[in-house]
Amino acid sequence: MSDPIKTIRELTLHGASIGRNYDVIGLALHGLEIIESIVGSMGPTKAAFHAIEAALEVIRSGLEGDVSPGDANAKLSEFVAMVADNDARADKAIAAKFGAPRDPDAHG
Amino acid sequence: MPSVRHHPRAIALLLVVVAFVSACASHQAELRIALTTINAASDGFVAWDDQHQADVVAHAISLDQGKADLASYRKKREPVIRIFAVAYKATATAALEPTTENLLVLAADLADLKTAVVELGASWPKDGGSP
Repeated sequence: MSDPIKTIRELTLHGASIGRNYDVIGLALHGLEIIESIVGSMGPTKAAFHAIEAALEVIRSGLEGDVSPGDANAKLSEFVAMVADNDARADKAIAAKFGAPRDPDAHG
Repeated sequence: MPSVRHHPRAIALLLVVVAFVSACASHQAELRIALTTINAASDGFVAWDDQHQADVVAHAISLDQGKADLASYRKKREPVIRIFAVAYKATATAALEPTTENLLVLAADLADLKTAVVELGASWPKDGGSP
């Protein structure tokens, strides 16, 4: 992936043009501004991956119509799980860095 | 079938339905923008959080100090996670009952979320996210 932002922009505009819906275009561009700002301040790879996911979600949410309570609840569960994954990854990394003995109760 | 043109009550009813559908469509657009903003912010926050914790680990000079720094950061992060949850729940409530009052609550929660994310040091869009 040479230029994630360019790829996101092309994908988004392509999705919006298929939708033929100006609301979707506005929404997609709004999402893009957010994504560009986040990726711009964070740098490459992992941020770019999340940005592409977010951009695709912008297109999807724009094309799929109404927001349901389930959309928000599902995303909240996903968010909480991802933060927990980050914590687990950092705990594992710090233990590995200093050669801490393995926690016998730890899983994974 | 009688023509709508000749039935004032039918016309009035039609206008009410059109107004209702327009209001719903407008509320849906606001809801979609709010959910998109929270989703993009949460995706960005998760990536930032992961990187930030990796930086804490990279700069740690001992196991105890590294663990303490991670614990300290997570303590500061707690309110942000809580406000993300509040914002998502407000979105779910507004989706269930898209009243002006619920949308105003959602807008206020979104503003709180922006403040909390920025105070922690994570990114927020320059102009986006303000409903």
